[in-house]
Amino acid sequence: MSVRLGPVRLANPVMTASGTCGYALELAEFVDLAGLGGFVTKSITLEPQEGNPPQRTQETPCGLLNSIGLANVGLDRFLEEKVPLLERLSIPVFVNVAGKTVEQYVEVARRVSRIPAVAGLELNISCPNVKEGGIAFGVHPPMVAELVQAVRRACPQTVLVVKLTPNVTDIAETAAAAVDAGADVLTVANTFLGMAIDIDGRRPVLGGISGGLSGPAIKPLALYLVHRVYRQVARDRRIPIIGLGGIMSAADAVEFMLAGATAVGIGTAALADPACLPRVVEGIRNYLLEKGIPAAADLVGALQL
Amino acid sequence: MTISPGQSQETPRRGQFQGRIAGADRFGDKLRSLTVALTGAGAAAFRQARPGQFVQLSCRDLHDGRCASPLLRRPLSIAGIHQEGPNPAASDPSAPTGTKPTQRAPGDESVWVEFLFRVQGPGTGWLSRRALDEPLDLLGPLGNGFRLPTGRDRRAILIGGGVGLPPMFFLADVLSRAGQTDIVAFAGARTVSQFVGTLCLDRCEPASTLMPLGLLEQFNRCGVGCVLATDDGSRGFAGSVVEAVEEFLAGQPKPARTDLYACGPKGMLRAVARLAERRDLACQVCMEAYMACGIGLCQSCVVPVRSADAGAADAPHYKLVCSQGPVFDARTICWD
Repeated sequence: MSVRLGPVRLANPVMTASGTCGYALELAEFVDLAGLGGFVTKSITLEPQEGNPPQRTQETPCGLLNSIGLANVGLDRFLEEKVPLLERLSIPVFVNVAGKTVEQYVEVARRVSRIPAVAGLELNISCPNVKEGGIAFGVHPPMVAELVQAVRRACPQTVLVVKLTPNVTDIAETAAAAVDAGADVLTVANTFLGMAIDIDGRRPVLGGISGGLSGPAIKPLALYLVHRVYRQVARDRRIPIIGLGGIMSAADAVEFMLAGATAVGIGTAALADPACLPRVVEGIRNYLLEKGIPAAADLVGALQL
Repeated sequence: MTISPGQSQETPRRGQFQGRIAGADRFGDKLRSLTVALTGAGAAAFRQARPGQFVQLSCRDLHDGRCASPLLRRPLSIAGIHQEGPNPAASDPSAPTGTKPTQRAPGDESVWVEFLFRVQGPGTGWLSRRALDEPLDLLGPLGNGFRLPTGRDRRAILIGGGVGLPPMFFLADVLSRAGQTDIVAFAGARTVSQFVGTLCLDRCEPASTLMPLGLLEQFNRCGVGCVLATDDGSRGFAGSVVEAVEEFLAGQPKPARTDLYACGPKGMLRAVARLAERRDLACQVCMEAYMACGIGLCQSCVVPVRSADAGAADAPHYKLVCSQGPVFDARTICWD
């Protein structure tokens, strides 16, 4: 069942998705995290962030819109309060890093990368770049390159995962920019921009006006992005992909792996049902046994065209 | 002083459990009750549940990966924790009258958790179609629950509005079992058909609309009288439940200490908080917020708060209803 994300070995391909599983402690009360392949934390920013005004989430048909605003305790409290708990996890931990400027990303990345228990960093490049008028870092290939290069230089030894945004014309371009700038692994992808309107009040439902859509509603969209990034960028350069977007079951996870994902992230499904995490691990194992496939890694990109 | 060490402010154990539906009743057009039987670790966790705590009930088949709607669980307050199963006669009109409650087999450590809810959308609609003995997946008990001070010459005023009434039933039960005698409940609804509880209106007609009587079965069974208030005046006090509380308090000698416990819509809670402030009464409010996970993962269900003791310089910040609430000291909530 094991797979490799660069130098990091996961006991199985199933990981948590950033932002949906807290800092591990919250979820550990409901599910044994030791059975997962890896854990990805909520985004950490340099300063604490209160987050957006409520309402912060809205269920939509087969989906979940969110506009949380990266509410988090900030780097200092993360290091002090959350890391000791993450150190007790027996599985590889990736810390998701966010920022408003390149300098903020670099500062957080530099300090987090020094923690021995951290297997790697995941850069959330969907954040607005305040120095560029709030356009998201991840939508513009030169900005992706600048950010990834800066973090790469600051943390030359760290496993660097770059979480791409799906809100671009061609994700292959931003994927290539990230890899050329030094990304070791790509996460494909993040939430799709969306909104909901209260027609009685004629107001946006979300306090943040628009938000990101996750859940099974986006699964076919995310699956296509994994397929495209794998074929256009990742396969030839041997860059592993963490595929995510609406995965609810082992069958969904296998689809992502066939499309080219080495590992999969489960987010929204775990919010609704923590037990789906071990169930997906078990389901992949059963699929491999049933089909007589010796290793989970054999599924990666095995789509027949 | 708290009721027992097991019910201190520590969060009790919780988890994801599979229960079985042991009772499913409908009353009125849109109101339903569900009683879920839990065994083993689930029973142990829920035996320690506190009034004000809630569960997240799954409203779809979690084992079918293609079944994705409704995606999220629905939070429901615990309306009661029972050591005995529901009376089958209550769920089955054809059962002979006087049927005894489900008897506990020796060694059976089951606990029955009661919920009352209004059918409002696809999630509660799915719940309303469950039949006896079907499985139900729940996370809980969640949240902090009410702190329960006890003592002599202490009055508890329980105020429930709309779908905020069920946790008050659980609270009345726990307070009365703890030996508190001075408990008065106030139940508010828009109109008489909307009370989220079993009305016993034929029992008596009050001389005064503010006289606490056995008008709601769920309060009745723990010996707590209640005052009904309807916005349209169709039964009981005509006006808001908070106005009823205010008039009631005005006509009563003040005990050494009065504790207000409230759950309901935000406007009602704000009015309760203001009343508590005017009369200098302790007040705990059980808040509602749009919730996704219910266990502190998603950071959705925030309410703005400030510390109760600090001055105006204390900047408001957010707290999570699901894990830092849902019960808050009313003075800490930023109501505007």
